Amino acid sequence: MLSEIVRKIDRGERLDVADGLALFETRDLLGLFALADRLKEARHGDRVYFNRNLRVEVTNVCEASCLFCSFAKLEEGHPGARTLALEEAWRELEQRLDDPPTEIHIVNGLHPGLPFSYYEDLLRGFKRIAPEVHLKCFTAVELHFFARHYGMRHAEVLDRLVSAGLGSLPGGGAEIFHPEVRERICADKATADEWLEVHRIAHRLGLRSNATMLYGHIETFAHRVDHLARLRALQDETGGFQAFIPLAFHPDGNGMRNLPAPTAMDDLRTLAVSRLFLDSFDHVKAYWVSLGPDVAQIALACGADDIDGTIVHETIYSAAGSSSPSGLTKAELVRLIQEAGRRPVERDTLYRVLEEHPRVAVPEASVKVRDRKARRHLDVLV
Amino acid sequence: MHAIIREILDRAGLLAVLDARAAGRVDLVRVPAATFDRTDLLALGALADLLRAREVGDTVTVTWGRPCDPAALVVRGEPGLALLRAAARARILGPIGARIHVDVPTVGFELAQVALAFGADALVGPPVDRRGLPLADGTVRVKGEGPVSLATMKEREIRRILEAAGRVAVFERGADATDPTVLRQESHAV
Repeated sequence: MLSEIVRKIDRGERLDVADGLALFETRDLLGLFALADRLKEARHGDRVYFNRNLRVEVTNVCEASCLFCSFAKLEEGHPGARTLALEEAWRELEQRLDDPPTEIHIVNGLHPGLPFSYYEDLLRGFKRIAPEVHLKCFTAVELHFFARHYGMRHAEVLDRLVSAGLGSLPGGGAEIFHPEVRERICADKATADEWLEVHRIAHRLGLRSNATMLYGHIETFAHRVDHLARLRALQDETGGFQAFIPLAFHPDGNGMRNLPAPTAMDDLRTLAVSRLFLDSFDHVKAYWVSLGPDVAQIALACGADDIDGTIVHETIYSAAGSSSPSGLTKAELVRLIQEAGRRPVERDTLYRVLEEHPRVAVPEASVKVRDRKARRHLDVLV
Repeated sequence: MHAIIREILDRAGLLAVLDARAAGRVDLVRVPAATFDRTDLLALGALADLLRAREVGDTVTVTWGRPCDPAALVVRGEPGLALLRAAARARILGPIGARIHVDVPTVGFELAQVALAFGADALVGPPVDRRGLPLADGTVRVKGEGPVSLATMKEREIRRILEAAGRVAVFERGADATDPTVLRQESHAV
């Protein structure tokens, strides 16, 4: 079956849903990885992108009750619930002005008690502090919530936020589109069609965005392929997606804690299939926070061309039991990519190249990532 | 062998190694150690996986709480790319039909599982949880079965994961499967 798919790709034919399923089910994993790597190399050569970004979550108060979420606290006043004052949020940037990030990435809970002006002021404040910083903010789920909660059309929400400084949209909130899954894990937030509609409108307004898929819980391979097919269809229509980011489910502290997390092989397989199926997406990201730095490095040989950024302090995955560090320095990211035999390229949010680093031979595992568990040195007894 | 695999082996100059081992001529496999640091990781893995399939088949031995086969090669230590390269190297340079064990407590189950696609065919170590900690004593209630030990649940999970990858798990358990010191003391000698 893989041979047939290779021939199809060589002829420049698009993979269909049956091909996508066959790729998820193939046992020829090295063949799958090699094929995805070949496509990635054809598009990007040995380049692997990263950026210097700062992740800010201003509120974890959320009216939705997604089964997979360990981050949101349902109500203000709930133990652990917190909402930053605007000054607190801005301080996150102010204290990093000696080496400012090029991007601020903001994702929040769906807080029913904040005025819309809070979000506009939040963006304006960041722009006042650093006018050149790119604001990649609010998932389609949040934007749909804003429209519903504040009584506006999606386009009006986006227009007002763009006026306040919004530069692009992150890809979160997509989860799994298929209703058989979505209605079980996140029934009380934007539907698949609503998520896609927000991105469609954003693309028409000239905004770029990313797309994600939360995999490894109750969904089947068929649900994953359905998800990818819906994203590909919208990309065909608008061309507005920049990157696809598969997000591995982490079970700690949420409503699906009885499920095992997806395995590393599932992570790598999902990335590789995504590269092959999403032929109209330029970038497939190995999000190191979700995969862990070690698996993210391996993913660079399985079709991924981006490893995300410095993050600085991630809280959503750490709440779900991820053992990844909450941030990496630029130097650590460069070394992680070089270790994997690739050329690190620092980009901005819109994938404009800021700095190209050399591809140099770095001994594997020479990078001691902060917070990585202490390990014994490699000891191969041959 | 798929054309895509042949292509990457050819590009990496590893087809001759495959032929030599297929002819039982391990003595002809002359690959300088430094080559393994430079060779494309997927090519090394593909070669090692082909050799593993030919020489030892699809069985994965999971050794818990007892020393592993003294003839086995053991890969342990730093996780990540170097681990995969080491597993592939052990398969390619080791004797034909050798068992290549991965020391799960030092690399974690996640990466140990990936190493099984890079030439390894055995996992060794006490049963550990997702965070790499020894499994606690205890049971969980399973519908239709009553209480089932955590070790048995972990065994089922591993079996299911390996089966999904086309491999067959065979468990070898010692008297005290949860005592990590048993393996720490005895799995080093190869």
